[in-house]
Amino acid sequence: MMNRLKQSIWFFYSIYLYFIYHLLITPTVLDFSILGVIIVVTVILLLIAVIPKQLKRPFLVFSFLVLLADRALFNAKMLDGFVYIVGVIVILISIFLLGKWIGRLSTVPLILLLISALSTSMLFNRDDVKILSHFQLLWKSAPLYVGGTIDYFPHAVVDIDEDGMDEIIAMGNVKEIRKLTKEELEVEEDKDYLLEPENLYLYILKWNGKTMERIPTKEIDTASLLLKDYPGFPYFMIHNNSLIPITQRLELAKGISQFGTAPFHAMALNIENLATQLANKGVFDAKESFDRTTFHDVQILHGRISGYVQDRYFSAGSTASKIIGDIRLPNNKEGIVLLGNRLEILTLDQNNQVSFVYPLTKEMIPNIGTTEVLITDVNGDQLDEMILSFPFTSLSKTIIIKPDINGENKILWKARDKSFRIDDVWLEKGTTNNELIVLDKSHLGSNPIRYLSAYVYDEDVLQRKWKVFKSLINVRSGDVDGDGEKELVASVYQKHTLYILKPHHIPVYLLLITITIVLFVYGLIRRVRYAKLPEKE
Amino acid sequence: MLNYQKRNRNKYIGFIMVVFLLLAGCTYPSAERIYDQAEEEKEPSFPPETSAIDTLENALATNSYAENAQRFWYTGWIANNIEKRRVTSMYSGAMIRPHGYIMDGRLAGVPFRYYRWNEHSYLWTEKTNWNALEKEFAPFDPFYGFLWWEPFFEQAVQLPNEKILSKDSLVYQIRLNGREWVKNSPNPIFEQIMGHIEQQPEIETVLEHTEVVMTIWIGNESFSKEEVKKLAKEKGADNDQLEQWTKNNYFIWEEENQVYKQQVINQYKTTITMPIPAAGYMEQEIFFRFYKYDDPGIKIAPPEKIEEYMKKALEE
Repeated sequence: MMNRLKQSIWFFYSIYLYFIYHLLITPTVLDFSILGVIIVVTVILLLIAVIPKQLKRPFLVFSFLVLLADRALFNAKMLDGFVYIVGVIVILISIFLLGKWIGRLSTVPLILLLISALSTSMLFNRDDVKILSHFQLLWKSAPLYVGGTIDYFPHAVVDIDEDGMDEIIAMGNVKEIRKLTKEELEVEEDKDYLLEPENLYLYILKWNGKTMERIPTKEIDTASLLLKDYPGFPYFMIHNNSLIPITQRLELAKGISQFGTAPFHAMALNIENLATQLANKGVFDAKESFDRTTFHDVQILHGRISGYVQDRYFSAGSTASKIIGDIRLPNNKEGIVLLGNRLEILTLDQNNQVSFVYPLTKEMIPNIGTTEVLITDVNGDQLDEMILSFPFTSLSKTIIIKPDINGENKILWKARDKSFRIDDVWLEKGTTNNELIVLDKSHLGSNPIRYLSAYVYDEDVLQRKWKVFKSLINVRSGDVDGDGEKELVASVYQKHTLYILKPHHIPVYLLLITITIVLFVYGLIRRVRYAKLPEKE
Repeated sequence: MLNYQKRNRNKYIGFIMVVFLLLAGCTYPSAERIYDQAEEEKEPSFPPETSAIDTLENALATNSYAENAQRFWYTGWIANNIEKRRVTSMYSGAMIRPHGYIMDGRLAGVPFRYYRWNEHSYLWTEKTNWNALEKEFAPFDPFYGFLWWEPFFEQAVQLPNEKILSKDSLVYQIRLNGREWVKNSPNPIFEQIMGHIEQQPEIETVLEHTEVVMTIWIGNESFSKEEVKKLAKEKGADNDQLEQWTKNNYFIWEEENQVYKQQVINQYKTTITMPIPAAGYMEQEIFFRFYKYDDPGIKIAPPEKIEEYMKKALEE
């Protein structure tokens, strides 16, 4: 009986090793770079030191084989059907034989290893397992867009039908392409070198208790939901639910080869693209209602911005092209944040005089016209700050700006690194602090991949609260399943898959470290108890 | 305590320390909290020392007719940013005038190639391989279009000379707003978009707020009399043909500096900053660089070779 129990430890060790490798060891190396490697190696050496001599070899080989099996089974998933089954069998047999010959392990531990490796391989996707440190994967979609022309589409998390649960609004075409008849598919495959229009559809996804399902878009005002996005501009435009090319490669090649004309061709494409889109829209930008202030029905048209504060009408000339949102300013003032070739805030005084205050010009912040702005209370002072993020190729880095009481824009915090991006804000668990949802690099200098993390603002620094080593983009928070707690909805670059991450509140790091300490102490005690007395020194 | 017990205790403590290190959070201190200084202010600009339009016209003539400027490499792109989306198309290759050129292009992430030799032209993509296109009899003119900037050259400024691929260049820059550019530049492309402007009054507003900056780098390399003689000899022009050769290649004698100059176009960049409805302002850059004029290493395969590739692809 005791023997059985002792042997079952191999199984639990195998599972423990799988999780600590993916959730603690790899992240530590990614996070702390050289220091991380040193830490991990130190811990491993300490653990090896407490293993009894005769178990060292089997133990090490076993550990290596657990990780090898995990990787091999994952790679095998690239094979299809029958070949896949054969591949899996080959892997299992190889692992078994390696364990026997090199590790001199007995049969039972090896069988347990194979069972645990198969289980983890089937239960978890190796690409996604790293989120388990803080989240469970509530739902993962198939790639929504099949095409390859556009690298990503934005999505939004919004409660359309006002039932307390947020829906996800995304763009795609996967279901429609699957429905194509065989002949239609052959035509698709046999395209010549011309760029063709691609049909794009609105995907509205709603939680039905078990999974996300697509709800029909017919009764919903889809025009207002379409996210203001310009994929492929100026060569492509979205028009009547299609991604339409307005030029062809040949046209471009011949036109551009007359180099002097190149900027003229580019400008003509710009104008053609915009003219068609403006014809559908009418206004430059418009927003009916705002969350924080009493502004409403604001629009930009013909170089003027106009709207209402309560029932007072205002209108002023402006070069702005985007209404970002409303903002709470010091001294109980209200404002609208506008983006044009500069960022500024429109306020209205008692005499209905419009002022443009808190300007951020392109001299102060280069490429200000390409910024994306989040308006939120970062530091908990009941007034709003502005978080500005920039494209990776920009000269500017993420910056948190506070319109202060003196009419100046005070910088609260500025990133050191171009890749640092603040995507969304939600409440930190169990507190009233606003937690910034961030995409940022690991400390491993050469690794440009950005991972999902969260920070809280505290004086001049951002304190990191957690980090999950999965690379995601367009992270948006929302309560998708209606349980009162927010989830994160994100996408994978160029893969067009949607992920819904639900916080699980299990102290995973604590558990894994505790188990490690327990193993260490257990080994230590055994060594001390059964060690022979050393010679006097 | 016995030594082995001490060793084990030390190991234990070391382990705990490592654990605490892992549990400690990360703090990310802010970068220096200051705004940028505008880069443009650092660049001194001044009215051109010699007429900008004369220099450009001379450069165009050189590019078009100078014997040793008929082959060159080029590379360029049209890149734009709207919020965080970056869309780029790229074009590079070589030209041998008056016959033809090869272009390695990229659009929407998909590479393509365009080839022209005399009246033959072909287009290649990975999916479709080479495809023959209709015969083209119009001669190609890579430097067509520069004169469309002529109405604006009066307002050009000169920036300090710059080295492009270590070749000294004169730098001229024109700044305009979009409306001025579209309305005053005489060209068939803008004529076509006039219709859009008339039908869509918002486009006028867009153009009014659009800023266009065109910068051109024109070669200013100095050649001594000996250097020009040497170049001529390499091309088979001996002493009595030297004067004619110098003229044919547009080498200009500068009396004060006692050197020859050959003005070719080295680089050409246009930036367009344009409002986009509900998406801030777009920043677009159209950039081209021309280099290694007369490089003997430029070789373009004859059309027969392309036909061979096409035959092979059909057989496979």
